[in-house]
Amino acid sequence: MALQRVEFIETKIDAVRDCPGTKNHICCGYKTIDLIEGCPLSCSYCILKHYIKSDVIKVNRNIDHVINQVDSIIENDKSHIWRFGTGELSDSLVFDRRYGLNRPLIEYFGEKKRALLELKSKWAQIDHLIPFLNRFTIISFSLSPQAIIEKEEKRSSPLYKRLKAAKKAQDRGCFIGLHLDPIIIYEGFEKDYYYLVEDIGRILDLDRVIWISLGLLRFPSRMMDTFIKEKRRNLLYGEFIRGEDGKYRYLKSERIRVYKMLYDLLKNKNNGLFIYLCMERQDVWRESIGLTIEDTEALTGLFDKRIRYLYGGEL
Amino acid sequence: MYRQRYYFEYIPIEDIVTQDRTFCLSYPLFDDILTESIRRFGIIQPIIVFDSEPYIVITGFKRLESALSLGFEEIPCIIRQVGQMDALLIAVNDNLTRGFNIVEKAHCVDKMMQLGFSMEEVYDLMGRIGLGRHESVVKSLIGLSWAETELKDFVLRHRLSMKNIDYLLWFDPNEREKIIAYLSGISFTDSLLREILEMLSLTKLKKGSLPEGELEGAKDAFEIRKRLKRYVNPGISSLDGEFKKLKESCGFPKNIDIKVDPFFEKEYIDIIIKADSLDKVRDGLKKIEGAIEKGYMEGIFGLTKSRIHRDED
Ligand code: SF4
Repeated sequence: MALQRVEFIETKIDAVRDCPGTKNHICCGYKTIDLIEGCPLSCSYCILKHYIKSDVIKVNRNIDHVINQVDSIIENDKSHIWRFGTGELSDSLVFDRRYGLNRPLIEYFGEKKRALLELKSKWAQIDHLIPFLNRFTIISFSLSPQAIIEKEEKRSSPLYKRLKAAKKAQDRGCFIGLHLDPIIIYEGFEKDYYYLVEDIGRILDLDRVIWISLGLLRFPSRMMDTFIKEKRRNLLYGEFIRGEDGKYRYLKSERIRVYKMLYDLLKNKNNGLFIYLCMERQDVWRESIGLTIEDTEALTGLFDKRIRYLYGGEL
Repeated sequence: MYRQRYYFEYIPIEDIVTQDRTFCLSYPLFDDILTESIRRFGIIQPIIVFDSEPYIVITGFKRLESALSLGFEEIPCIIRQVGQMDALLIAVNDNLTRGFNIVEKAHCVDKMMQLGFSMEEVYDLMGRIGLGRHESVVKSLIGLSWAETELKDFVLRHRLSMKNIDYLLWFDPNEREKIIAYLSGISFTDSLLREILEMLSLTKLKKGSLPEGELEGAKDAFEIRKRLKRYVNPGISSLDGEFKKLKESCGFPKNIDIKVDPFFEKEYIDIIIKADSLDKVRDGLKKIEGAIEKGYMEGIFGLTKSRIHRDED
């Protein structure tokens, strides 16, 4: 695990994109903001290292240009309440205390009041941001059982710190997002995920959780070699197939079983939770959580409804 | 250009430390054709040895090996006074024009690393002998260089790719020995071997040992692959079994077929009627109708839509 160097760049290239999605799987209509390219947390399953070959983590300092792009999307396309996130090519918070990258974005979304910014992270340092947070920023944490954090997300914050940081954001009046992604099938994972949901229910105010995503482990085929080479027993424990997009994913019946299990556990904690599947097929949606979602447009519509329900006329 | 003349002299083989392989890059050492040529014509090109007592060979290990097997008592040698790093470079360059096999390339890299050449120098040579300049390649080559002769021979006999060499190195020597023994009598392509090795390593990771029962008595590599697939993908295998049973129950004639996604990922199925007349189409549709009424088609959709688990829940 080599340490990477951080390099600042001033670029005018398009930093705002539609989440790339994947063939025959339903996407949630998310917009990604590429502020940082590369991540020092080095999770074992992270696909970034296979896409970004450089040892350098690039940080885009041209925030004004980025904000202009976000603004033009919000102004020109009013068909949905857009959700933007900076956690696609990196972790949203890992560099934030040091470089203060998110503050101008948080302030922009707070003033604009027309869209949401999601800061998605496994790094539980948000104290420096607390005074600046507003309702239009969603602080989100990816959550895994502590056993997985210790083995596969070694450099990131422990579970209790992530949950504590999420609670702080809630106490400040923000909605938070939770991402159980990647969900990993390993020996005894059901029990660990059961306790994870228990912790979520115990520590967080579930009425202030705007969304929870569920996404089982999936990875491009060339990562199989890496996992084998690194003897990633946890990651390889389940039964994999090649999906229509060429990626490895768990067998469909297993995916349905696990999604259903987690969906039921979470809904038992709070029936009002908004739970969605990340990059899943229509039939998996239907069989696991009983929803018929035709396409990305339909799912984006559900997000709109959820946001309107929580924000009323504010957005 | 400065040129130095070297003279050779005949040295008794007993004055040479024949087992010192510090600079030996060649693999395998014994070469029938070379031995036959030496038997007929003698050693035309002298070997190079260190000016030490006893002499240590820098280059010419194969010739020495042939000479020994032919019972020669002395051998033509050029005696050189050089440092260890220069000696290795002489050995490398002496062999460069004939081309190295992958094991010899591994020896080159390993010995350069051992003698303290810089990474840049190692990468430079790797580039010249057609290897990718990457840390992971260096690691694999060092592994191969130190591997047992069974693996080296297997690698050369089947001209294995670096990927498959990596897979084999991943196992411990005992397991490797078993895998090589199982695969020795059969032929396979590099990609088929890769599939087999990937499944073997997956099984090893999940279950802690090799699925030896799956390898025993297999008549060819395809059978090994089939058996391992069943072992590594029990879910798919059982779905496949169910599908075959249902298809059989449909009792379709040869011109009607049903195809599903081999991974049971896509929910739709293909129903094929091969027909050269309207009657055959009508007949085909009637048969499909019958299978629907008996619930077999519903059963097949149950498999592609993974309904079995839900119903059992
Ligand atoms: S935190 Fe996210 S981006 Fe960073 S290494 Fe882990 S998975 Fe990759």
